[in-house]
Amino acid sequence: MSANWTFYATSVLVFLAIDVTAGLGLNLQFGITGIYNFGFVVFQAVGAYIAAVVSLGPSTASSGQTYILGATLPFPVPWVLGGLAAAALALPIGAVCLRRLRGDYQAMVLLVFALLSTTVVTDYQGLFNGSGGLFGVPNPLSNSLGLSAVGYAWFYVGLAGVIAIGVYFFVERLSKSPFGRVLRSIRENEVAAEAAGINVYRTRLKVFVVGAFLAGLSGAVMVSYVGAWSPGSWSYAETFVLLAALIVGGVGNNRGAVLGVFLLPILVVQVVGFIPLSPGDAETVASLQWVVIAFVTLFSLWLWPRGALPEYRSLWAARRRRERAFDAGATVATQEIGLGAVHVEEVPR
Amino acid sequence: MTRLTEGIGFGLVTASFLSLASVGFTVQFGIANIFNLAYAQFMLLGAYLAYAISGNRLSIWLALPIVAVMIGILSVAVNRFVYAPFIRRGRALFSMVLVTISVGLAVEYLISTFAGPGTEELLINPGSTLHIAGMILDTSQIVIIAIAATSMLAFHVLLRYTRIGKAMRATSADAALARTCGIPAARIRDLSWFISGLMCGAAGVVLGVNTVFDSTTGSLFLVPIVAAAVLGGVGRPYGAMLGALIVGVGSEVAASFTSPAYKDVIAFGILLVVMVFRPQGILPGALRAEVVVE
Repeated sequence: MSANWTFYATSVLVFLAIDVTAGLGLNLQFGITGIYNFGFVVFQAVGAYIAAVVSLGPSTASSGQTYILGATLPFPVPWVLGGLAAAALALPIGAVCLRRLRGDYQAMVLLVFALLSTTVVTDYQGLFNGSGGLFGVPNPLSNSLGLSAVGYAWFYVGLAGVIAIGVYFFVERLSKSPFGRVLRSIRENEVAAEAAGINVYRTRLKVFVVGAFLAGLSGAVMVSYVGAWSPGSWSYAETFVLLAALIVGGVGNNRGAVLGVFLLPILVVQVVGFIPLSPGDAETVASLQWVVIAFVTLFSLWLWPRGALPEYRSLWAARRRRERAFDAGATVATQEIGLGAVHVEEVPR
Repeated sequence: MTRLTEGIGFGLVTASFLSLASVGFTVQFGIANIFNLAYAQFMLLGAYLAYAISGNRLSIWLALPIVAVMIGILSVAVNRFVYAPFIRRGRALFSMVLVTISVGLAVEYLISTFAGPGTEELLINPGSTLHIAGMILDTSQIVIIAIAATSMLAFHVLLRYTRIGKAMRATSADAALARTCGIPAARIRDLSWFISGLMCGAAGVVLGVNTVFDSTTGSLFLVPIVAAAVLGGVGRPYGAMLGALIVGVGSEVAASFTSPAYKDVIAFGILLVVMVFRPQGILPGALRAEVVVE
């Protein structure tokens, strides 16, 4: 393989790992718990910004960038801080937005929050260097490892891949655990979950914060790889690519999330992004990509609203029900509530 | 003192734009029970249509009603052929916000594909500058205020004093009950979407006169529009008018004392405060926003 193709392949793989990390975080919030987080990209952006400023060194006049919190921290620390910063931001935002309101109302407010954040970061130069954004973010360990450029690219694929796989097992375990069933029960029927003794607001807030941590982590991995980060890289629409990936892949199913991420952000956005085009055409193609993603989402919602790999819940619930009916007879109904398998069909109004 | 009165002057212009925009937004929620997140993009489409048809040949004030009707028809079509089928198909499967934001995204980037990334402006002769009670306004801004005031008054008369308005209010409150009373709910729903589309288009043209715009401008204006609609209680046209006045004047006055960059931050601050303390809006009555389970 020539060096060009190697860089191409490694960068697609790195973006796959990053988008899988972020997509699983969003699946935890949106797919499993039913939080319509239209502001997801903000938490990714915060993670990226914080990871960047704590590895760029102090902001000086000579560097040509102004930002807060300049520091040079050793490798894994900026990534962890990026995730924690996103989680810290999610706490107050979630506390306000996740109150007992209709899901679409929350979605709208989170969307407005995302729109506002872009404006704020663009307007306040002192925060994260305004619309110019941060650049020259160092690649972690690139000096101390002594690898060739190609070797480092593969090293980064491994690093991002390990994180993505780790996050996959974390989210998978979480969603299969009793806590995961609590989350599903909240998604399916809030009132029933509340009646079964679940504190819906606190549980959703927990998931919101954990998902934001994963978003921040993915942002940190991204910024250390790309080396630059500006408001242009995180418009509100970026959240939508991930949402579309979940819808196409299978909402609530982590394997579906991975498949969706491979289909949309990777095949439609990244791979097309590497096709050489003249600048004018590139603008048009970038716009058309969004149009394609929007239409894919609409068709997917119309034709297969549960996605390509649907959540296996009906089978799961049915088997459980049979087993329990056999074992425990009449206690089924009460136990099912605790299991989160309450299935109330909605009546169209 | 002059700062305050000047701020109020700009605030009235912003409030005029916001009243058109947020009343349309809130009417759509009232009639269809969905948040149309594509609203801002249709508004922007209105600005681009005005730009396309006015050029140097046609006055923008003449283009405004034409654009309003075009966006009105488009709104009815989008509801009939996209939103309504989706609502019939799958309330239990997914939320309509996903559908509306997809439509919005498609419109935004179709505009961007055809119009390119540059900014546009609806050039208008500002006319003479007038000083009214310490407010500095040019003729075009007075016209904007007049358009908004007339539209709001007309909408009020329609809602309160005509049979159609009564039918609209009844359908918005309870479509099934309205139908059993002999109101042709489907036709009334189309009419409501048309009227909200008129306001959306008019707001778009006003937006184009007020600021330079590009394909992303529409979504940015969702911040004050949502703030105004939520402040007045979503689904309530009179609340949205009041909300537009408070958000418009409040943000401009505060911005005139600090920095114009704070405008949207202030609008968002108002939104957060309302969300925490009174999610049903400032007007007494309905508790629609607090419905937990659909």
